[in-house]
Amino acid sequence: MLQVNNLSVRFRTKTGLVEAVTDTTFSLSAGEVLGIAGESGCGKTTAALSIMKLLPKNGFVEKGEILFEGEDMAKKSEEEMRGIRWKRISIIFQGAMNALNPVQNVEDQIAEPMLLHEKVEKNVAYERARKLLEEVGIDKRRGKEYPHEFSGGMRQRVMIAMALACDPSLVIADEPVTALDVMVQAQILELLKRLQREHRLSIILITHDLSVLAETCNNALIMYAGRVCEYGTTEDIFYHPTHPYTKRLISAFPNIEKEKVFVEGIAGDPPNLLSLPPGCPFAPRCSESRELCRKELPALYRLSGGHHVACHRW
Amino acid sequence: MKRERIELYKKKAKNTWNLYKASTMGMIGLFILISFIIVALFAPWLEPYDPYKIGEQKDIMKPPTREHLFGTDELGRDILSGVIIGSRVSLLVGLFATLISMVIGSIVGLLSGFYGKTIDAILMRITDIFLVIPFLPLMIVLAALLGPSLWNIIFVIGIDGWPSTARVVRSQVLSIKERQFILRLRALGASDYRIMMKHISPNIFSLIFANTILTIAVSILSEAVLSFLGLGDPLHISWGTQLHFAFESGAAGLGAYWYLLPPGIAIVLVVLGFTLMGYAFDEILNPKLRER
Amino acid sequence: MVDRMAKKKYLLVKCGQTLFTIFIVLTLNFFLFRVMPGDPARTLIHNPRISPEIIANLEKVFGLDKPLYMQYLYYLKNMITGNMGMSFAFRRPVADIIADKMGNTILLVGVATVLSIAIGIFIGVIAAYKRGSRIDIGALAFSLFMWAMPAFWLGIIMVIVFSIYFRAFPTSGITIPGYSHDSFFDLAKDVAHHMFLPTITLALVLLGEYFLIMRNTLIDVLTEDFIMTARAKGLSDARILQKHALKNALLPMVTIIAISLGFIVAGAIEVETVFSWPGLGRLIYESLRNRDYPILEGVFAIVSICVIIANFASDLLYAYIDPRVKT
Repeated sequence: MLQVNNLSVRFRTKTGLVEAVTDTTFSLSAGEVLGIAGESGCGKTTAALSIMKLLPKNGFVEKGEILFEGEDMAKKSEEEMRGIRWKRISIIFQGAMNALNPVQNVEDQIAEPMLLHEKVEKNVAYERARKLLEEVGIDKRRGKEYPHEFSGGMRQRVMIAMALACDPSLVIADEPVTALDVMVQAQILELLKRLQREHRLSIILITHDLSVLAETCNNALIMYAGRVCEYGTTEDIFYHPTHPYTKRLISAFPNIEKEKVFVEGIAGDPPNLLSLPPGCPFAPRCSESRELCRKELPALYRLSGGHHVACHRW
Repeated sequence: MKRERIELYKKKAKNTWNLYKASTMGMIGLFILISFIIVALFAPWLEPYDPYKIGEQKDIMKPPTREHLFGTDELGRDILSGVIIGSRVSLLVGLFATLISMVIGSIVGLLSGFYGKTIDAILMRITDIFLVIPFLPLMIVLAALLGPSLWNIIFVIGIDGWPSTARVVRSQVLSIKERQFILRLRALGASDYRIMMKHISPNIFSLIFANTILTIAVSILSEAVLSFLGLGDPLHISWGTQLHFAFESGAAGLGAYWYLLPPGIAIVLVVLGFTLMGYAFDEILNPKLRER
Repeated sequence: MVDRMAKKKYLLVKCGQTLFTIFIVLTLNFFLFRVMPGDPARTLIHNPRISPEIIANLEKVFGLDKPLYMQYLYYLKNMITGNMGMSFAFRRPVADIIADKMGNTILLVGVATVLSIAIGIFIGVIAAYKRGSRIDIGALAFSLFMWAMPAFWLGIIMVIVFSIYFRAFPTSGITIPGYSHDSFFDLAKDVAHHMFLPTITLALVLLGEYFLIMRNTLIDVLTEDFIMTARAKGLSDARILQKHALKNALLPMVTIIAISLGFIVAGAIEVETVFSWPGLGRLIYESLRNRDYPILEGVFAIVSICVIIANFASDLLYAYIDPRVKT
C-alpha cells in the first residue's frame, strides 16, 4: 500500500544544501509494521515526514516517488495533502510533552480532525473521541482535562487515540516511546500492537532503539546518512545482520543473558550531511572497509527473499 | 594566576568584539554614541556661543540663520550651543544613575539569589512592591520633595532602576548557583564572599552587561521627562530642560520648530544608540538568543 | 473539584498581597510627605501667607501637633475615609478635584490603550507570520524608534504639525472654552475633536511595546511541537493560527498589559501635560508648578493604588483563563 522509490530529500540552509535523504527505496504492505532504525540524523524522520509532506519551509523532495495506495504523494499540492493528512495517514510524535496543545482539552484535540475531515455532528465526534480514550486505557470522563494533568505515558496514549481519530490506513509512529521510562514503554508498545491488530493498521515505526523494533515490527529498514543500509524481515536483521553498520548497532545493545561484555561504541564522527564523501557513507567508520568502499557507492543487493543490503562485500 | 586571568579576559573581549563588528545594528549604535561622547567631551570647544549667555531683545525666538544655526530661544540664547552642552548633562545623568541602579540592584540580586529562603523572600517582596508602583509618579514625588539639583535627579532615577536589575541578577545567580563548580568550591570550604565575588560575579557579568546598556538608555529618557516636567536642575542645561523652557515659553504655539526639534532629536538619537548597542550585545552574550 | 479549592486559595493569597502592597504604598506616601525634612505641610503652617482656614484644617486633619505615630494613624484613617486634605491652590478638597479629573484621564487612557493593543496585536500577528518580510522589519524599526522617543516630544511634534501647521486640531483642552453645547452629540463631537491628537500620541507610544511582545510570543509559539501536530492533522495555516497559535500567544499578553501599566501612566502624564488635557496627569504638572503638595500626595496615592488593583485584576483574569495555573 506504500511504495517509496528513490526518494531524495534536501534542506536549504545558510551553509548549503543538506542531503537528508538520498535514493531511499522501501515498501509497506497492508497490515505490516515496518521499523525504520538508525542513529539521530540518519534521515528516518525526514523520510517519514515526506510521506505526509510535512517538511519545514526549507525542505523539499528533490526526486523520487511516494506511492500511497497508488497515488504519488510527492506530486500532490498542499491543498490536496491537507485532505489526506490524518484522514488516511496520521502520525504519532515523540515526547508528547509539547505535541499536544496545552490550552485545549484532550477530547477537543481528538475530535478536532474528525470535525475537520468528516461530516459528523459535534456530539457524535465527541462520543467517538471518548470511546477512543477508553480504547487506549484512559477513563473517558477525563476527556475535559488538559494535557498537563496527565502523566507522560498517558499523554502518549492520548496521542495514539488522536492518531486513530479518522481511522487512517497508515500510521507513522515517530519514536513513540523514546521519552518514556522502561515500564511505561512496554505498556505503550503492547497497546500499539493490540490496536494494530484490532484496527488492521499499517504502521511505520521510527526508532533508534533496536529492542523496540525487535518487539513490534515485521520488517526493518536500517538507515545511515540518509541512505538505506539494510532491509529485510526483523529475523533477517537480527539473526543475519549483514551490513557492518547493522552489526555494530545490534552489538551496541548488551545482552542480559550473555556474560558481561564491554560495549564498544562506533568509532568516528557522525556524517556531515552538507558534504558527503564519495562512495559508501559509512566507509570512514567501517572496520571492514576496502579501497572500493571509499570510491564507489554500493548498490542495493538482494541477498535472499526480502533481505537486501547495500555493501560492497556482496 | 592573575596574569592568566587577564589573558583569558583579553581573549574573550577580542572574540566579543569580532562578533560585535558583524552586527550592523551594533555598529550604527556605536557610531552614534561615539559621536555624542566626542561632542560631550569637547563641548566647550565645539559650541559657537556661550549657551548660558542671554541675548539681546532683537534676538529672541529667532529662526535659524547663518549666525545661529539652530536659532535662538526665548532669552536670546543660541540653541545649537545649548544642545551641544546639554549632551553633557544628559549623558552624565544617564551614566551615574545607571551606576547607582546597577550597584544596588546587583547587590540585592546577588544576596537574594545566593542566600535564598528568607533573605530572598524579603528582598523579592520589596522588589516586587517597587516594581508595581508606577515609576513616573514615584520619581516625580521624590524629585519634587528633594529639590531640583543634578545629584538629586541622578539619585531619583538611580533609585527607580534597581528593582529590575535586581530581578535580572537574581535569576542569573540562581542559574549558576546549582552548577557543579560552585558545589565543588563549597565542598572545598570557600567562603560565601569569595564564591560570590570571584566566581559568580564574573560569570554573570557578561549577561548583565547588555542589561546595563539598556538601563542607560532608560535613564536618559527618564532625565528628559523629569526635566521637561520642571524637576530638572535649572542651572544646568540638558535637552530635557531645553524642551521644558521651550514648552513653557509657548514655542509650540509659535511654531518654533527650531527650538523644539533639535533637543528632541538628540534624545532620540542617543537613546537609539544605546538601545541598538544593548540589543547587539544581548544577541552576542545571551546564548539562548543565538539559537533563534 | 480540587482545582477549584486551589484556585480560591490563590485568589485569597493574591488579595492579601494586594492589600499589603497598598498598605506599604500609603505608608511610603506618608513617609515621603510628612516625615522627610522639608516636610511641606509643616513648612506651610509657618507660612504667614496661607489663609487661616487652611491652616486650621491642616492642623486638624494632619494632627500636626501630635506625636508621629498618631499622625500616621490619622493619616490612615483619612485615607480610608477618602479625606485627602485641601488643595492649597484650588481651595477645594483634594478628593473632589481628583474625582473631577479622573474621568478625563480614564477616557484618554482607555481609548488610547485599547487602540494600541488592538493595532499592536494585529500587526504583531502579521509580522510573526511573515517573519523577516518588509512588514516585519518595518514594524520592528518603527517600534524601536517609538521606544526611543519621549512621549512628550512626540506630542509636541504632533502639535506643531497638525495644530499649528495644518490647523486641523486644537492644541489643548477637552472642549472649546466657554462654548455651551446644544446636545450630547455636539459635546461628544467637540471632545472627540480635542481628544484626537493626544489619543493618537499616547497610542503610538504604547503601540511599539505591544507589537513587539505579540510578535515575539507568537514566533515562539509557532516553533512549538503542537503546531506541527496541527499541521499534520491537515488544518490550514489560517486555522492553525487562529485555533492553536493565537490562543497560546494571547495568554501572556494579559500579564504584559499589566506590567505595562507603569508606562501607560507615564505616557498619560506626559501627553496630558503637552495637550493641557484636564486629567490627573495635567493635575500633577500644575500642582508641581504651584507646589500644591496635598494634591501631589493624593494623586500619587490614587494612581498607585489603581495600578496595584489593576495588576491584581489581571492576575485573577490570567488564573481564570489559563488552564495550567493551579496555585
